[in-house]
Amino acid sequence: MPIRSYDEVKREKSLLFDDSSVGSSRSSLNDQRSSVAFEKSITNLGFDPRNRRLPGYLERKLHKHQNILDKLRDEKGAGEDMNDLGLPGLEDGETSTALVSQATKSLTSLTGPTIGQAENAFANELIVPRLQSGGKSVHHSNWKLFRVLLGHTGQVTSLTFDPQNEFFATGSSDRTIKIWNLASGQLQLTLTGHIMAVRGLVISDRHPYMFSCSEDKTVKCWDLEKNKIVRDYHGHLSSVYSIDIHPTLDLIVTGGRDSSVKVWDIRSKLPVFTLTGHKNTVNKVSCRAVDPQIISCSMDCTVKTWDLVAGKCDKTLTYHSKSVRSFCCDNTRDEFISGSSDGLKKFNLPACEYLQELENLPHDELTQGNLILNTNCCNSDGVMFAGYDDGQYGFWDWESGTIFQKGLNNAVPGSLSSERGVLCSSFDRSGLRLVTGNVDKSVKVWKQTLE
Amino acid sequence: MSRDIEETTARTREAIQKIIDAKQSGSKVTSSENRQEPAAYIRYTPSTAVRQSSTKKQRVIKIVDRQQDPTLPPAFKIRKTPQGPNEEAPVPILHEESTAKLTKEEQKKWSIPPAISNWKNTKGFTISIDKRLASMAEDKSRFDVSDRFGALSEALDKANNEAKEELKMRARLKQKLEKQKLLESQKKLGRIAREARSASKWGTEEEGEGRIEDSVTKREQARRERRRKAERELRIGSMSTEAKVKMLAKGQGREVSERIAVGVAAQTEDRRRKDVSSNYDSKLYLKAAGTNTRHSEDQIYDSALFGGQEAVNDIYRARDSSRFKGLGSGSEESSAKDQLRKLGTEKRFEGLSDRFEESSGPVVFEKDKEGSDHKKPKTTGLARKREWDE
Repeated sequence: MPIRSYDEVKREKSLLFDDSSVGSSRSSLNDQRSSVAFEKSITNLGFDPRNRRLPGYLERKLHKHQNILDKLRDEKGAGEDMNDLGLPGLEDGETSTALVSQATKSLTSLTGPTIGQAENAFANELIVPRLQSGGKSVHHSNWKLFRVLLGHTGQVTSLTFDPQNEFFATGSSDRTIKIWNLASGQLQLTLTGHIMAVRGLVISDRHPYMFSCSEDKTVKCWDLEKNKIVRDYHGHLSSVYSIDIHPTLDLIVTGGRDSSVKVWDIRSKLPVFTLTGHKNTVNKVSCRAVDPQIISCSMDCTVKTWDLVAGKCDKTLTYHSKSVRSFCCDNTRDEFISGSSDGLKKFNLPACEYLQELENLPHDELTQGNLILNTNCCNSDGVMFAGYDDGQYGFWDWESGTIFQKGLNNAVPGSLSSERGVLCSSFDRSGLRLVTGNVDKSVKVWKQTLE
Repeated sequence: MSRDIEETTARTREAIQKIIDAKQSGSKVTSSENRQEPAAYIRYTPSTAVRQSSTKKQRVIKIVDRQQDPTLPPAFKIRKTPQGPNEEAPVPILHEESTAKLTKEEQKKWSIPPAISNWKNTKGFTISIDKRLASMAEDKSRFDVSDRFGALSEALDKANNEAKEELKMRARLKQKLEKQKLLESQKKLGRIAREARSASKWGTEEEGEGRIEDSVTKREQARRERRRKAERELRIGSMSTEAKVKMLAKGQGREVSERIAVGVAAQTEDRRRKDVSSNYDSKLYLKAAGTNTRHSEDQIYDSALFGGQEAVNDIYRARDSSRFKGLGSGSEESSAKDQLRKLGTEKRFEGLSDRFEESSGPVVFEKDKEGSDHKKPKTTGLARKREWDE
């Protein structure tokens, strides 16, 4: 059940837990409305009375009023309906007795030796993933590096593929965009025009245009027939870190360091929306043909979905406790996986429900610091790749969320071992090649081994 | 699915088109004249209190906007309004904050000394080591070493030394034993040898044989001498007259070319006397002579290294093969071969057998062609004409 508005929750809360209402609750207990409200509030607050303990605050509340409860029980006798005990309204007595017995149990457990169990009672059900172990893991053959392309003189920060899968473009912090042949790996073209690192690239399926965004606060539209800049989208207040094109409409979406997501009309260069709501740098934005049409992740540890019609934030996902640097949508499954230093998490899409926590790479946070995930991407085959800042990488099975291949990226000879990090990655349109851009200025092409 | 997409697209396109249209019409440039509203006319009736008899009862007033200079700066300061309170409901935090407290170990791992801490020492001053130590007073205990540690290390040292000494002793003893063994074995061998020698002494006694051997060696010596003489004669016979003369001179000790080359050609007696009589500066002479004479031992590089040999440059000449022509009956190659055969000293470098004849210059080096002729034995590539006349 979706979360209601704040006012509603507040009202229900006050209905439930107002101390003054305890005395007069008898009249309201029989009221159908209040019991419905309780049910609602419980689901809102992530508490399912059927299979979970009471949330912590309820327990504390119960503890506080235990004396009153006892007194009441003494007065009424054991056979009396529990609804009369001044407990917040419930429809049937059965669940309420269960609740009370559970509550008392947990109370005793609080005093007893098993404190861990009692702590568990505080867990919000929403935090618990819906799929604990994921689906069956499908066998995938391993991926291997088969080509290293050199040419950039700065770290490769972005890449995108041609819709015909003939070439791909890479943007680098050397301010250039290079276009490479996918089959041969030959450098075909170098585009200059940005005056700072190019951070995002996207090639349109429906236009002969490529869009690039850069740390110099500009978003540019390149005509790939003339290899020239044809449009500039001016309006970001700081570096622009990510760009995506709407699959069906003539809109581009950019996000950047000014913690805003901007929606631009391609033709008129007008900023249609400036979507504010993120409290920190927006790391990645992505567009979808169906709702939610825009998804963005940010350094403020949240993933937000946006309503493009209204120009407002739709949902805010606060499941991550560290900044979310990347996420990838799988449109065939209607799911997405967001990656952060605290792990990879899978959500389903229109509803944005927390499905699963993916397997983590082995890492000791205390000695090695945070394991920073820079990029992740997926193909239609159910393979997800994630590249990390320290050069680690892994391939996950999408369904089960298990790692089937992991390794450490080798830096190109002549570069430092600290330059192993993977900055950007993308599967090609067929999903048979993976291209990564690295800190060591190289572009690496991976393919699957034949078995 | 596709219908869903179409529906969403249509809905979104409509909404967005509205916004774009609004923005585009809003951004249209309009001049101030166009914007000016038409004048408004008001029928004004002054109140009875104000009205004077002279004034009219009613008048029509035209209201027009006052002309403004569009180039003037704004009359009011533009201020940014602070962001209002967030209307949206706060989002529930759905990640688990780790509530576990840091252990002491972890705290220690993350502790930053105040001298280098950005919080405690915000300006990054350099703090002298004594003050640093003072600030880390509680950590001083870390560096304290108990007395027992000293005792332990001493004991360890002692044990170490003792062990070393023992090892040394053992090695010495071993060496001694080995030496003794060697001596004994030598003695034994000596004894055996002596016994063997004495046994042979007793076994054979022949004086005559020694005499026979003596005569044989004498004969052999004579034979060798004769042979050498014959060879020499043959060589002289084959020489050119020039070489013969040179040889003769050498035999009488008059050949000086070598000595000139070395730079120690002695002057004749009378010449020296002449020099003494004429008073020339000897240094000048030394200069003119060039050469190896030095003014002092330090002046090593005063003169050219081979300066003194100018006169002798032509001592060695490439041997021209024309000399052989007259001697041999056939071609020059065959004659040279014959010569060699006569001498019976066909000594050459290995692998030179078929290259020998083509040489005519002083020294000819050849590049060793690897691969081209694998089967042939590898030659060192040095083909050199021998000189017979020494």
